[in-house]
Amino acid sequence: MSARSTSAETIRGLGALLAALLAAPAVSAESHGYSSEVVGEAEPPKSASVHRLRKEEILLLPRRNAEDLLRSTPGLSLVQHGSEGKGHQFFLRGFDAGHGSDFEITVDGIPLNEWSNVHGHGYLDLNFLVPEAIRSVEVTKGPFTLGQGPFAVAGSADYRLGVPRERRGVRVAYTAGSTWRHRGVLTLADPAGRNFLAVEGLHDEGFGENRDIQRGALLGRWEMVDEPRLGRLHLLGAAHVARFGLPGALREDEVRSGGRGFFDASDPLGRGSSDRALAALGWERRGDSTEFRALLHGSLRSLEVSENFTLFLHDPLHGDRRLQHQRSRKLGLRLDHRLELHRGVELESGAGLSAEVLRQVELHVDDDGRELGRERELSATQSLAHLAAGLRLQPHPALELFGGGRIDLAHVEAKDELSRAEATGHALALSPRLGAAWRFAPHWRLYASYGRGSRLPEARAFVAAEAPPMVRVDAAELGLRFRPAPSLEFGASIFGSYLERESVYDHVSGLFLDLAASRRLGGELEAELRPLPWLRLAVDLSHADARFVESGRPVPYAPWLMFGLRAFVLVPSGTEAGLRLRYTAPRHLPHGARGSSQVQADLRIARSMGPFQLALEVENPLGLETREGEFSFPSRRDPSLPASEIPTLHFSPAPPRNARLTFSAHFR
Amino acid sequence: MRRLFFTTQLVLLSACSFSAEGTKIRIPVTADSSEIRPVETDLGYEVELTEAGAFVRDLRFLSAEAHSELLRPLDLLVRSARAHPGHHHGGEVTGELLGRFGLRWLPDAGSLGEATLLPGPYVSASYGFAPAEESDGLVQSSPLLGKAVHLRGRATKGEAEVPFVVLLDPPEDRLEHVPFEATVGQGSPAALGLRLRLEDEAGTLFDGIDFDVLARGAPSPLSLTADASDPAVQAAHERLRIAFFSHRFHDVRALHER
Repeated sequence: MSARSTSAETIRGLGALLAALLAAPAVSAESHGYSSEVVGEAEPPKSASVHRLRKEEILLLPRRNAEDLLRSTPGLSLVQHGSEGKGHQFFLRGFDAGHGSDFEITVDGIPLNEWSNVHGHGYLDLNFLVPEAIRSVEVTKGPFTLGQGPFAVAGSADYRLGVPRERRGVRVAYTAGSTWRHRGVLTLADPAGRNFLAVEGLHDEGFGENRDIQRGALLGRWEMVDEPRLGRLHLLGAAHVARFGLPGALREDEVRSGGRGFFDASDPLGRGSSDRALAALGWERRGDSTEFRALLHGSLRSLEVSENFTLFLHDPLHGDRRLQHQRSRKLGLRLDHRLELHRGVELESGAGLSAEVLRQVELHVDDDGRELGRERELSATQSLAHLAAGLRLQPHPALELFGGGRIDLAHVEAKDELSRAEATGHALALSPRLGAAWRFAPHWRLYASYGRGSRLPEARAFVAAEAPPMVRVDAAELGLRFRPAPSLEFGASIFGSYLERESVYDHVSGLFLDLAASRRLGGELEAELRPLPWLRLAVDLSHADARFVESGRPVPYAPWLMFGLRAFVLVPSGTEAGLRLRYTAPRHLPHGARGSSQVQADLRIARSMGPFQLALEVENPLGLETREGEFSFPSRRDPSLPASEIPTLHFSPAPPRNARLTFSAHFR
Repeated sequence: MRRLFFTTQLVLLSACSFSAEGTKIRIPVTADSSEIRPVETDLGYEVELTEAGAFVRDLRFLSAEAHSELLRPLDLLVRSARAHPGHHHGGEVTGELLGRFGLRWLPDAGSLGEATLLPGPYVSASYGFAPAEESDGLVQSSPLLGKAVHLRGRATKGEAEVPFVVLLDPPEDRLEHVPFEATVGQGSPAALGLRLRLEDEAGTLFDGIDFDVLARGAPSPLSLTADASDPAVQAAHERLRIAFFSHRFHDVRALHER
């Protein structure tokens, strides 16, 4: 029996079970009382491009992991070209932000981008975040706010931890999925949500060859002190271990010729492991006109990746497998202060310092892991300091102005263990940030923002130059929001950004190449409506035209047109549902190649009965074969054939139709 | 219900399109001897070649998405974080002619074969050199066997005329960053010419070689080879070898007529 028919039968079975449950009379189903309010701070966004995930988006839409929550953000596209345990690739506003080189993520203020990760510059890995312990996510497109640090070139996301109000108490859930997924999660949270503990265990065979994952994660927060005089003191702790398969990217011609299946692995032997331990001590004190936050954080991190993307292109005998390994220790302190100087005049300031010690190795290995060559071995100590200050003025109740800037200073001491070369260097980034919000009519808001973002050079670059070049982007946007009624909201924005020098990685030479200047122009349209008390709909359309300035050629890979639809149903009797539909127009690929259009749909339906809930999540219910990631690079499957280095199309598939059934029990 | 499902699927499938590779263009590659003409060296010799040839392998043509700057010294030193191929590609191989080829500039230029290139702006080329083999039509005793480059000509200075032969062993490294500035599209250019130039702005290929001095007491023609017994000839050979295998004296030209 094929995997597909097994999957279909499982879905039919799960569907029948769910239908029976939905038909059954509700037993004391509680009213969830969801509102359209966003989770977290309810104040209006600081720029038009801020997207705060609503409760519905966090609780009602299907998600496998913390990254999946970002898929609800208009214009933000995620690609998973490994399996679930690997970091995603991000695309936003015409940027291919890689594994995090141009997209910053913070969790409760803790910066997560791994500055000099051996696998990718600014690598992001959210394996340690248990999705049930995320209470809000705020995505800022563009580098417009004072808090956005290095790597916020295309934008940033700030995750806030905590168990959403509706799920506080004791909640235990077990998920069984058609990909032989077994996931258990336990959350404990006090009614106020200040203390919580989340534990997750996951085993999933994955939807295709070599796409399995095993993960365990622990996440908790304990508020130790909460007194008006002393403020609040909390301790945050997290740990995770993950082991996963890495299937590589399939050659398009192999799949079309029938040599490989759509969900097969190009590399059946690729493996990865990701471990992390993290702790943070936070202190927060609020007064009548002042607010102070301090955060001390430290982490231990390990990542190992064994992949072979080019197969036998460079080494026809042993293959091109590379084993990358990195271990690091990091300690950081972040201070944020807000002071009301005068009525309508507020000073925001911040400072931070972090230091990281890392060691990374990249080996050429055979399929048994035996070392054939050592391509990189680096140890480094890198530190990053920042100072930020800005004034927020409200000269009129309807007008808010912001002006400020930040300085980021990087200092690196690196030693290339292969060449024995040592280097000490620094890099400095000055980033002005300006913004204005004007409520020019009762239901209208006009936004204007300008900001500069930067991407720090990785530690390895300092071995060659004391002050290696930094990527800088200047970005601006103009936005309009119209909310004629609480149940109806429209948003429109136009944006532009200019990158004076694009730095891209060339895998053939293994070097970064400097490309000419590039610019992005685009716009977004959003609409949200609640036609019925139990139904909310959101649609969005995003366009980004990314081109190199000199030639006018499009920047490859970045999506230029995306459409999104989200629908949420929340019936007080205990039935809830969420639908996410995304369309991405064919992307420009290098050298005249063209990507495929993508349609991705995910669905979740749940029914609560007293403390119990049964939820069915279906990914790709229509069973479309979608190429989530498309790449153009050379590879050679058959070592007896000539080693052609002309790029050819490869892809990573989006999940096929698959289903997950979650049974949970919740006791307040 | 089933009808609704299939109708929805049909609507969504109609929004789908398939990916498509860029068009691959086949372009003939020939030797280009248009810049092989008598040159005057820094020591006052007029050098004229009568034969020039090489054995090359695996020609590759590099394009730079949006006209990247060429590699700077820093880039050559810094190998960046290697994620995996596919995120971006600037300055990459997008054309090639694989195999081993006899490249004959003189006495008459020969053809190598048809290269395959993707359309776009090109900035450089690279190729390796291969040793001559018996299968190339050489007899076992031929001094060309095992050599990659063969130049024959004469150097004249006043009354003195020195016939010479240069034989160069194949270098380990490929010849990289050979200038190739052209935009390749459907039907254009008509051919690509691998050009050997004997002179650039900084001097000639034969600068610093005092042919007359080297030829004193040596059999004619003067043989500039790696296994010469005269240290002065060896040094001259080394000077020529370094010069020849640098990209100064090579380029790839877009030819608009075959």
